[in-house]
Amino acid sequence: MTSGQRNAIGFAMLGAGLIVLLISALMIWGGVQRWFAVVETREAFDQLRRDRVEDARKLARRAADRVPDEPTPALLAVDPTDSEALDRLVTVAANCRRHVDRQAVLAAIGLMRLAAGKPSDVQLEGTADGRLLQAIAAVRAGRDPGKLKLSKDEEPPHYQVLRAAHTVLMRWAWQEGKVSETRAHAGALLLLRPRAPEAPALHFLVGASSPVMPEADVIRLGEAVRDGRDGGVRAEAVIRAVAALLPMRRAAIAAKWPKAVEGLP
Amino acid sequence: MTTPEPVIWAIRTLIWFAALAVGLVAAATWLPPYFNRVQVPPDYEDLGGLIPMTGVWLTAPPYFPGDGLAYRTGDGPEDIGFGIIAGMPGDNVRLVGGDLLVEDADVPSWKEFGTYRGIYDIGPMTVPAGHYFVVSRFHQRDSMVLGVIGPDQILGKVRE
Repeated sequence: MTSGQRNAIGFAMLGAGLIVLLISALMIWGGVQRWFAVVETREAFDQLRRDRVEDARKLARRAADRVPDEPTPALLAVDPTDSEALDRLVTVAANCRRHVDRQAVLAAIGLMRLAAGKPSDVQLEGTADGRLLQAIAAVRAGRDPGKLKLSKDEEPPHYQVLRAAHTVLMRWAWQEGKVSETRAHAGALLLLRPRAPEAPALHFLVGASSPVMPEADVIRLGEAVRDGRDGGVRAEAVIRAVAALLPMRRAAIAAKWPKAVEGLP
Repeated sequence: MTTPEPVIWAIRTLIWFAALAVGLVAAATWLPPYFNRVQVPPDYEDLGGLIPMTGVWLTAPPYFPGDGLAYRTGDGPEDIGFGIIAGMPGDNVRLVGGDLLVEDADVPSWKEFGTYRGIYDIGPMTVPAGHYFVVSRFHQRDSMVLGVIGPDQILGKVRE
């Protein structure tokens, strides 16, 4: 082997080494960014648990800027009042590599569109999310959503879609005076979020609509609503709405809170 | 014609570095879940077999019904709960006559957990994607109190 050949091999190896070094540096930089994004997303979840929604969104937005194709920070960063948030989610959905991630983002897009009064316009056939979004759309259009029975063969619904669907359907059933359906949706919401601010009111509704619950216990649950975070005028409204829905409990409620049943038949 | 010695050396070095890189990536991907350990809170008595103030090894998914799950219940280091997985994503959970039914089947040993704050019939609720419905003995830190346990709360499965 001549010295020229040796030099050629040496320079080729040097070049290959530099390329590998560059690729390694890029991978390390990507890893560092991903690490920061994971930490910020975790902190965003913590802030969300403390009900600091704005702080959570700020952290999630920072994480989403670091890893734009990752669905979790993108979903956490979404502000439903921001019109550009929907466009960003559409891009994230298009870039999702995993099917489950894409389904989650599409469900969020559908929910946001429905909340804005538009058709959901997402491909979620054969999933529980798709049927829940259809039920919400039916209620918003003033139609009967029908019985909600999710099938085991469907992909399970996402938390926010399930929560929104039960809330909308409970409100609709309540307005229509359908006691068993109102109770079923309230019970589902209570099992889903037993620590939510509205839990005492849901507990009161579920207890009051139970044929076996003693009246004293129903009144105790009503007192918990009045003592809760939403006490005062809102508690009065809840007690009045329960009395309006459940004639069988009206006498007991009237005995304890006469003003709550004033004007009811 | 024989291959020049520096080329063989270069190929050998590349193979060694490639093997090292693959090993490092594999270790970084697979090993962390096996070094996951949490401490049982001092006052803990909600799940049999867990001794307060002792460490518990956790493993990664998949999770199945009957597995012990460790999860965060708050922000503090002692805000950790343990429960048995009763409902998987997509399962229908309901209380009928005080019994916990998952997909219309009784949850074994549910009776020892008691009723849900005086309500005997409630639900059904479908467990959302990525979430689990867990139960523990006194409902101190289980799904009856906290709701379904989500991916942001799950720490891992309690190793046998």
